[in-house]
Amino acid sequence: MTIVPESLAAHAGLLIERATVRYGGTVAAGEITLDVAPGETVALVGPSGCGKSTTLRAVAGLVPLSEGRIAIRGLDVTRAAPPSRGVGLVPQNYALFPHMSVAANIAYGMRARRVPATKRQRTVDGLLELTSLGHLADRRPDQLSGGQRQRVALARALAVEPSVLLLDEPMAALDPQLRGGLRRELAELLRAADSATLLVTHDQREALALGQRIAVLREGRIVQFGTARELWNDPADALVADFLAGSRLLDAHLDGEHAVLFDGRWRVPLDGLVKRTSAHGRTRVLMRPESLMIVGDAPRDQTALDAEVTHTEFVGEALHITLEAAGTVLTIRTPADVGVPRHVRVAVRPGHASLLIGSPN
Amino acid sequence: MNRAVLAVVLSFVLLPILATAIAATSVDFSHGPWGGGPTLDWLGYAWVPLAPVVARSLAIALGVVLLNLLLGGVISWWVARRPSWATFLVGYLVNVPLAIPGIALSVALVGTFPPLRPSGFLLVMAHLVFTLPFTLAALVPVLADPSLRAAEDVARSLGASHVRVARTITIPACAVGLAQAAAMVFALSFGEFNISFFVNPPAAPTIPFALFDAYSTGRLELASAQTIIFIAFIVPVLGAIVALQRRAGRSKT
Repeated sequence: MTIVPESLAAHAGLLIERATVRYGGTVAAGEITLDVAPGETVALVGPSGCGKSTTLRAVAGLVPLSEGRIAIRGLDVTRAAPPSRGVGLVPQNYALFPHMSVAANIAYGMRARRVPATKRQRTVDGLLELTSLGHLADRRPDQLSGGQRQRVALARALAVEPSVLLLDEPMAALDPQLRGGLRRELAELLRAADSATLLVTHDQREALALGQRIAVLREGRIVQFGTARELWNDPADALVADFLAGSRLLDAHLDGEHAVLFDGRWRVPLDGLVKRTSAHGRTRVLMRPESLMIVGDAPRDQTALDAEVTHTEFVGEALHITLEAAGTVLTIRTPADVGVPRHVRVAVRPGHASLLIGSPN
Repeated sequence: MNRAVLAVVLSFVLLPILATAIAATSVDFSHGPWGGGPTLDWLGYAWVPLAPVVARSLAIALGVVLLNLLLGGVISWWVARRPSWATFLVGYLVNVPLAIPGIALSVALVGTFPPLRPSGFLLVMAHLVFTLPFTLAALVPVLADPSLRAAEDVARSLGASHVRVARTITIPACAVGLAQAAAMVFALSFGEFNISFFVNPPAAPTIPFALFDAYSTGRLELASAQTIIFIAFIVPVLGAIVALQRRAGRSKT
């Protein structure tokens, strides 16, 4: 490991700078730049194949960078072997060592680092208590539930007191019914650790719940990196809007008291929109499923839009309706007891859609 | 269905062994089962010529097992972890001997490496060529398993050296496959006759040679007794294969 320049060395957690990973001629991750502070969790999200796991593996030293660098606690680890990086890795499906007990799994990293037996035992006992696995210490991984395995994998990674904790889809192997509770447990465990945590997930709820900041990736590159609130309120593009909130981001321009969409076919009164300044150039309207309402008796003016219902999904307390209007797919959430005809008129529910006003360049 | 399969197995595997055991313990099998009364004398007579041959066969089989684990282990790792046209070609070529008649393989080996024949080294190499596909079949899928690779990655990230990862993660994960391969290779080498008949130096016969000789020139009871002794050596190994297969099946559930 080498010392990085002063500007980078000042960062006490994880710093990834213009990191690029190539598999042959394919760029799996391109010019990734992000930082994670100690005690912070950054979520890497994006569709399958966008380079999230590759970035994680690059930080762990399991795939080489072709360009860029990675620093952990101010030390350049770009060319360092995995054992010397000070990371704890929790891969998808946890990769517990099947022939070892829970306690031996947790102790593995400490044995590899030749931690004295007494300290090792003390750490294992502490982590067993922290993860409520004490009564399962002698069990083998195949005797554990999915949630218990997740906790063993996390305890195993935390046992080496990693500077950086890498979590690759930690909930993906769990039943959806279990995820809510385990998400809260995981959040508490991450708070208890003081590591810089990089979390890879394709689940927007997981990203929003666990990530203090979120990086959205597409085709190997970061599309947007910021706090969950920043991304929620001012998505950089349609992918971020759709991925994080199932929202639509529609180009608009202002005309007097209206935001004009779809080449003038829809004029949304400005007093019904929440106005925000956008850091991403153009003026757009952010439509979430709850932003729209069906208006049966709307006047035949351009404040409402004709739409065709293409799909209706009953989700318990509500109907999730997919519409097509002006060649664009929109979604709308309505009470479950509302009858929905095939052709409807929709309007913005006042106060539930945002106007993102582009800053002039 | 189960009963039909059981009946076939009993008819074609256990029944012939039972008949051989009866012949081996009959004073005169030409008078029917246990004709002239039961006896263990044939087993005693059979052991005398077999004893030196058994030791030789055991040594060859164990040597073939050892070479299989060393060479097969390395090739399996390479094929599983470094997929390329070269590994594809090697994976293909290693299996070719299975499709070639033993006599053709033997003649090719003897013709290509005549100086290796007198020492018996060619016989060991011939058994190796014949058994290597079974080792690869047992080890390549285990070594290519993404879950093993993920476990190795985790072990590395936790601070383990390559040697430690191999010792504590990779080899234990391959243990069942290694044991299966070893047992299978031992059984195949110990009883191999076809290739050995042509490749083996005539002055140093192995067990199957002795059996062939006994059936060709000796009494049926004596040959049967030698067969029973041979089976006694091989049954524990076959039992180990079955037990390992059951264990492997259980561990996957």
